[in-house]
Amino acid sequence: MPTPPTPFQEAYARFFPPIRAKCRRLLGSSADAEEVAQEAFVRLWQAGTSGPELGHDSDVRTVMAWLYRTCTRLAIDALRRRLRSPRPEPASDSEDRLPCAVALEDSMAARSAILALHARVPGEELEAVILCRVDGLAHAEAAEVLDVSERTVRRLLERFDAGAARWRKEFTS
Amino acid sequence: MKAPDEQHGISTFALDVYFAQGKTGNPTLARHLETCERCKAYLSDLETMATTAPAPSMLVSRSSSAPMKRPLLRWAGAATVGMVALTAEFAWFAMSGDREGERDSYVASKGEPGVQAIVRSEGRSQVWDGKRPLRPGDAIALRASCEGFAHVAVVTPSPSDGGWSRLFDGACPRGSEPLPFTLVADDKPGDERLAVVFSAARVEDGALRSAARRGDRTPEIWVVHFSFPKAASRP
Repeated sequence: MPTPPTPFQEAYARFFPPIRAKCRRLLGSSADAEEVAQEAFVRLWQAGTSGPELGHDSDVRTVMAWLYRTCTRLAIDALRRRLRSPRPEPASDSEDRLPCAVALEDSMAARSAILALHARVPGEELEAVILCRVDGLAHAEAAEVLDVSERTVRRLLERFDAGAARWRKEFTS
Repeated sequence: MKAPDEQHGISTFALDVYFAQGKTGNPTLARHLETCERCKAYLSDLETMATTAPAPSMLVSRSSSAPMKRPLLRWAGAATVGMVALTAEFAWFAMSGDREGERDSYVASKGEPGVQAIVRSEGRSQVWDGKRPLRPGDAIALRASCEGFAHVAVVTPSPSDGGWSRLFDGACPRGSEPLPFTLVADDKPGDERLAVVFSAARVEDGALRSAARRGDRTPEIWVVHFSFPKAASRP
């Protein structure tokens, strides 16, 4: 009789595809996305009892929020590493289709702004922008993922926009 | 630019949760999918990805149930057993910068110890997916999660006497630091095999070899085996 999957294996099967897709939306490259997604699951494994509960009775939304938060932070780290060790931006091999709540041009514009500003703005602002504009989460969902208030999410987005405006001004002047 | 709550669309997060719970539990979303081709296509992409997902890179379950017998080999799918030929290079990967910005707050648990292999190949470091063959020259670093054990040793089969040779021996690193050495795969045929042995204190050679051979998993000593398949040679 085959061994039943452990709660971790089961969680991996259920959550890995959306987490890899999320990483690919930001990083563009499948290989980078897979590496970051794998690392997020390593963190889940390492978190043990201090992480979200896994298994049949676990709250899917809570686990997804935890993984979203973790892989967003890891993806930001990956972007910043690219800056420290310059290499060509990988050609996007993403052919993922986006759900109707995300406009491709908006997502791409947000990604471009993130790539330009990721070294200059705090991680919290990047997290909010990635979740709301690249991934297309509602403010309430981003607040749930980041464990902050909706007001804080809006404030982070406003700060990022102000920083982007300053950067554009510097760039064009 | 508008957030989904301003557009009244179904967010990616909602779709991802719906997918992870087996496409049940959200009648509103199910109704939306009847008419939204884009969201349907998105879920279809996830299903395709699910069939091609790599093996998880953490090779030991965090389950607190009874110790598993050699789960590494099962997860890795590396069934063949070959001769090991590893060169221990006591050098760090150029990874210190890679870890900048990581948040150790994710790491905290009481459970079974585990090991993550990181392979550096052609200038890039990647978490080993449990099946990708090594190429000659690829370097392997190990990240250990000691879970209460204080000491860690890495041993490899010794071709001369059929025993095990100690490649590394030292205190468990803090946080997610890799063990301070790398192993470099050579071009000889066969798999690269090694065992990571966790213990409360340094274990003398005979006991270490016996534990590695048997794959002991007790409160005193805990062995994790690795078997890396190798590609024939670089193209």
